[in-house]
Amino acid sequence: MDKILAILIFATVFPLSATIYRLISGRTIVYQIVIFPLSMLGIGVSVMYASYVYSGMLSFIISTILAVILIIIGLILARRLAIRYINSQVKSMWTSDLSKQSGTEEFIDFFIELDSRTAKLKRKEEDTAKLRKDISSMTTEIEQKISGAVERFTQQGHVIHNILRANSSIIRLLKENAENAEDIAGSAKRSAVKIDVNNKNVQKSVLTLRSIISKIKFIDDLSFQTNILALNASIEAAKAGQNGKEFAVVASSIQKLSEKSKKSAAEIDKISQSGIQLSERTGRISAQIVPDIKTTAKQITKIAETTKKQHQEAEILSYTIAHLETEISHFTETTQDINRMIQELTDLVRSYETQGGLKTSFKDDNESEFYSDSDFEANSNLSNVAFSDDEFTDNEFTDDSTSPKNE
Amino acid sequence: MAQNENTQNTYLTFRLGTEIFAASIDKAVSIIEVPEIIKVPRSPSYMKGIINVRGTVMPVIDARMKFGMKPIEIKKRTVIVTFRVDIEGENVDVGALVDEPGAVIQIKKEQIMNRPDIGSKYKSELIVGAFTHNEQFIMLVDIDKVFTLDELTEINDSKEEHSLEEHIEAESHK
Repeated sequence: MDKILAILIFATVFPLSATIYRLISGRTIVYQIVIFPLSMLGIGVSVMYASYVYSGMLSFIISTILAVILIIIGLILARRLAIRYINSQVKSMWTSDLSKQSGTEEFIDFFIELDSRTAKLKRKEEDTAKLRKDISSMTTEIEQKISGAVERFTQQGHVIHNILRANSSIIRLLKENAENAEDIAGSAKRSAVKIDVNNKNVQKSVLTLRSIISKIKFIDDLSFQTNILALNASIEAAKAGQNGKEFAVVASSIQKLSEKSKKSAAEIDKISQSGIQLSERTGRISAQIVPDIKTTAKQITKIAETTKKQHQEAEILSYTIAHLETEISHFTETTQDINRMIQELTDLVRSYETQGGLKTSFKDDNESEFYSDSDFEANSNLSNVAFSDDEFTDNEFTDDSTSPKNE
Repeated sequence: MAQNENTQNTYLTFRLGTEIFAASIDKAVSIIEVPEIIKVPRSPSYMKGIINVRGTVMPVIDARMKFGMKPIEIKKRTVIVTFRVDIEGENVDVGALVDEPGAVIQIKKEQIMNRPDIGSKYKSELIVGAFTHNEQFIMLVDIDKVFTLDELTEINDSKEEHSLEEHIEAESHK
């Protein structure tokens, strides 16, 4: 029973462990080269032992020979398989043929290394593809955003152009305003002067009317005296009786005349008085108007000055806006350049995707014996920039850095 | 003509305050503008002083005060009417200050109303009658009575007191 169990263990442990190893590590090359022959050896040995236990010496010798043949066949098969695999792998990577490699241990070490590296490369390639995809999506996003920005800048440019145009019309209006205000101020000053002259004329007319009144008083006095004279003449005529009757008529008509002149003098006096009142009122009003007009003129002059200043400020503003406009157009151009560059970048990334990044990258690395440290550093830098915390961590690279030592 | 003379009298009118008065033309001498009146000391209040009219010195009275009105204020229209009055058979030239001279008018005797109709607003003994002329109520004054004897005596009294006035009076009498 024990013997049967041993045989079964011998027959099953090696292939089983090989299969488990293969499943766990995924390293096909190791299985093919090392585990497969070993499992074959295990089977051979178990066959040998079984034949020794149950069939005696002759069958043992035969089975031993058979097992040796099996082992030899297995080894030859494994080697051939391995060489074929390596050739296929290496041919895809390097132009040089590694089939001339000698020394099985080194060879196996190398293949273990190669296998792990190939696995890593595959992972990296996947990562790079993801990265590329990400970059591509990012660049398209950036492109969209920049084109949006360009559009906005163009709109801003339009807006600023409109502002500039409005400002120029404001400048024109301000200039007109200033000119008009100056005109008004000038006319106000002129009218103030004219009203001054008017005032003086009114004063003169008042004086004239006063002199008329004094002259009228003289006429009034004269009529009074004439009246007295006429009365005296009438008295004398009355005393003369019948003889003085005609003279009395003359005297009474003189008296009537004097009465009339008195009345007219009184009327003229009244009219002149009202004329004086009117003139004085006019004079007072125009005297009030003159300072008003003068203050108005001053205020309008101030307005004109302020408008001039505004005009200057607006011109400065216009200049500034024009400057801003040129700046924005420069900015727009720059943004368009950036956009173009990003498009180029996107094209480049896409071309990488279609051509296959691995080949080109390995072609570039052709000069180096294997993976140069500097390359990995560069890659790590790139990855660090792209994904700060991802599978591409430092421990992976430490493994890589140790591996060339094994070589 | 004689009938006309009988029926019509000629009067000189003048204004005192708001009232118009008339005096017989026979008594009136002339109308003059108010000259410089020389005041006479201690004379009655209605006597304003003396004036010199073409060499004749005569006393001037305030006619308004004579009629019991407020004392006269000498204005532009104020004049002196000179009268020749009969005082104790003597003809004396006297001046009266009136507010305004009127006119020489002729009034029929029938038009003149009697004194009692006028009332006693003024010193009635001076008023002898009244009439309307050109819708104007005019009071007729007896000039001789205005310059009554006793008042002239007062004047004379004052003359006695002052040698200067005596001298003037003497001159006037000459």
